[in-house]
Amino acid sequence: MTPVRVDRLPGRCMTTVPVGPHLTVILEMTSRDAVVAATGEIDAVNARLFADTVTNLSVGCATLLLDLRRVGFLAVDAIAAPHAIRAQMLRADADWAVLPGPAVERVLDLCDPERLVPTAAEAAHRIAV
Amino acid sequence: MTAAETLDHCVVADAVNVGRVRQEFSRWLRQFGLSPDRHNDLVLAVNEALANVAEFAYVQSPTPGVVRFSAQHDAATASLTVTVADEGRWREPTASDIPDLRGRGIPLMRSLADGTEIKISPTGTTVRLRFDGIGDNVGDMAGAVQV
Repeated sequence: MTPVRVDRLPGRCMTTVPVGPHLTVILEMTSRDAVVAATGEIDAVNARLFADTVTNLSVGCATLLLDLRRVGFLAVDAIAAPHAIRAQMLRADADWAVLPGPAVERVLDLCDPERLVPTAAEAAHRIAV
Repeated sequence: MTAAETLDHCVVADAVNVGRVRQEFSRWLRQFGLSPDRHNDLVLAVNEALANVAEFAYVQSPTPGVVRFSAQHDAATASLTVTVADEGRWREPTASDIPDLRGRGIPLMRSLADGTEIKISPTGTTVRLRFDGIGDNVGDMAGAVQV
């Protein structure tokens, strides 16, 4: 995997939100851009709450970078979460991308062959990574 | 057969217990020293089998029944067999299921496992997944099991 540098956002505020016992997200945002980093596992138990949390945290942002490099497990049915986030980003006319780790990349390969979920490598020209 | 070669659970088939059994299986699997990608593929396939039970097997029952989970390693053949059994009803995916997602579960298990067997009966369903090439490179790791 090509190393990706995630710059800290200037003038940022940071928020840590637990999403159940096995997942935590950290939001770092300015008035325009948001970086949401998740750590843990995403499955049928927390996928919907995870999607709701990310979309609520990033309301009003023009760009969202969803950093999933520290997600150690993404269940097949939890792929619905990034698809739900995608739908919300489309409705809000916001630009977004996922930074996948190996576990997420594998499920995207298996379950999103059309690549509807944009990865940061594909969106690097649009999203500051 | 030693304790490290088997892992057994019998729990109520719900999403929380699926997560617990999956995490226990993932910890138990570490003793075989698989690559991260291979390890993740096994956990993904096993989670799918467990999740199918939690989601579908007891959908016509007032309360969820149990799911029986067993993982057995055969050192002689370097293969791992995972059995996921329920006492519910088999349900074929329908058009109302999430498109292109739920219907992928069984093909996905077949693609991730080296052998897949599904036995359907009026008293329940048993899914058996076989993974080859497991534990044929652990060598001295037997004394360093971390579960």
